[in-house]
Amino acid sequence: MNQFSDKSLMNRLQNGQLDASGLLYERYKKVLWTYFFNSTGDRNQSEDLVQTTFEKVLKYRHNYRESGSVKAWLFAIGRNALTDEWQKSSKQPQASLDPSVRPRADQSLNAEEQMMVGDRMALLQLAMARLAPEKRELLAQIKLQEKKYKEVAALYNSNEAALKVRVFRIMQELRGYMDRMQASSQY
Amino acid sequence: MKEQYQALLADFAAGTLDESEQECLESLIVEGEIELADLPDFSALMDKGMNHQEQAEETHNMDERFYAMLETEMEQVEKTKVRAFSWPLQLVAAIALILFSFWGGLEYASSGDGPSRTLGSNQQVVELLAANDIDEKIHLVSKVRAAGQADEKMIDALLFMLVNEESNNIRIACVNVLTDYSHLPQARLGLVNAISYQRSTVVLVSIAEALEASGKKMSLEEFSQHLNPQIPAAKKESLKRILAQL
Repeated sequence: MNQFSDKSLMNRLQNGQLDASGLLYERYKKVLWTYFFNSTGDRNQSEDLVQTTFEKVLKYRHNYRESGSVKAWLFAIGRNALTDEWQKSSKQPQASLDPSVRPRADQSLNAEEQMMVGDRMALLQLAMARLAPEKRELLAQIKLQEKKYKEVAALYNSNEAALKVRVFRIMQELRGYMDRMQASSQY
Repeated sequence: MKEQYQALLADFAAGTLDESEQECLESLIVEGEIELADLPDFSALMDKGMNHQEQAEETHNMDERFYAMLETEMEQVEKTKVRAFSWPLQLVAAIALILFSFWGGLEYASSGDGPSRTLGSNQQVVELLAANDIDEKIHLVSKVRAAGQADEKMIDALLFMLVNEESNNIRIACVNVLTDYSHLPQARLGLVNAISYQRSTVVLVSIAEALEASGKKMSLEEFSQHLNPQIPAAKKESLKRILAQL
């Protein structure tokens, strides 16, 4: 086995060589942060979630089984951390989350957003910010897994067809937000 | 995609799908007749709308926090083991630190150009070398990286730490900064010289990656010649296999 393969590093970690997690961290910090950022839209929260993920990696390192992919295990931990965060913030709705990244049911636009509406990509991102967190997370997973729908479906205990329909509906919702934002900006 | 579906997609784009059209579109997606990529804005969202890894802007603060957390965890693990206290080595390191600081002071006194910049740099170097705490050292090294401008003295200090620091995480943090300067002969030569002082394969791989980033990758044989002779043969062979894949 490659000494610096993910699995080998996990072996070392399980044998008490904690510094092996440094290489895992360097290898996955960016992709994890990107996944969290695409799911939350909040830089600081994404950093916190990377930290939480690796704290759990160290804490639960003995739970990893060699038969599975380290990346998948890492992202499962990351996903749990994200879900925990959502649960916490839903119990404390006015917690420290940046209000601009929380889903917004209303279609009112602030001055800055009004200016962004002219740019289609910016409009799409504004609409993304209005999606429910779990919907944003699904889109982030699809991007992360490079559109391998079968693999993403497995993560959600679903099948490929059902997942695609779900994504279709999310896209429809996004379009609805975009249309309403565009309409409101014209008044 | 068949042309007859274009009308459906156009209605989707216009937001005018009725219930039966929506059902129809959903079943076409399930059957694979229409790909999600065919939906207006889907590809744009996936390719440009969401943050790319290359654009990820996580801060150095995240690294600091991780390595600080790791050090704490390692200390806890260490506490469970009987640790040999090697005071003569610490004494040697302390003397080396004093001598290095003294040399830094002499260098500063003899240099005439850019006093304020040199003073700032010297202060940073002394601060870095005098720090006692591992967390503090990692924090200071990260600050050097964030500042983005290490001068010759700072590079020397980082190379000194790369050779003398006990903590592999501090060594790795130093290599991370030095990677940004590996195109400079001083940094590259220092990195090569530091190879023989390393026992940790993680640090060695980091150095190999830094040398690769310099654009003048060392051959495996060349790299291996610098390895510490005390590294067990099996470990050395294993390391060579890893380096061969870099």
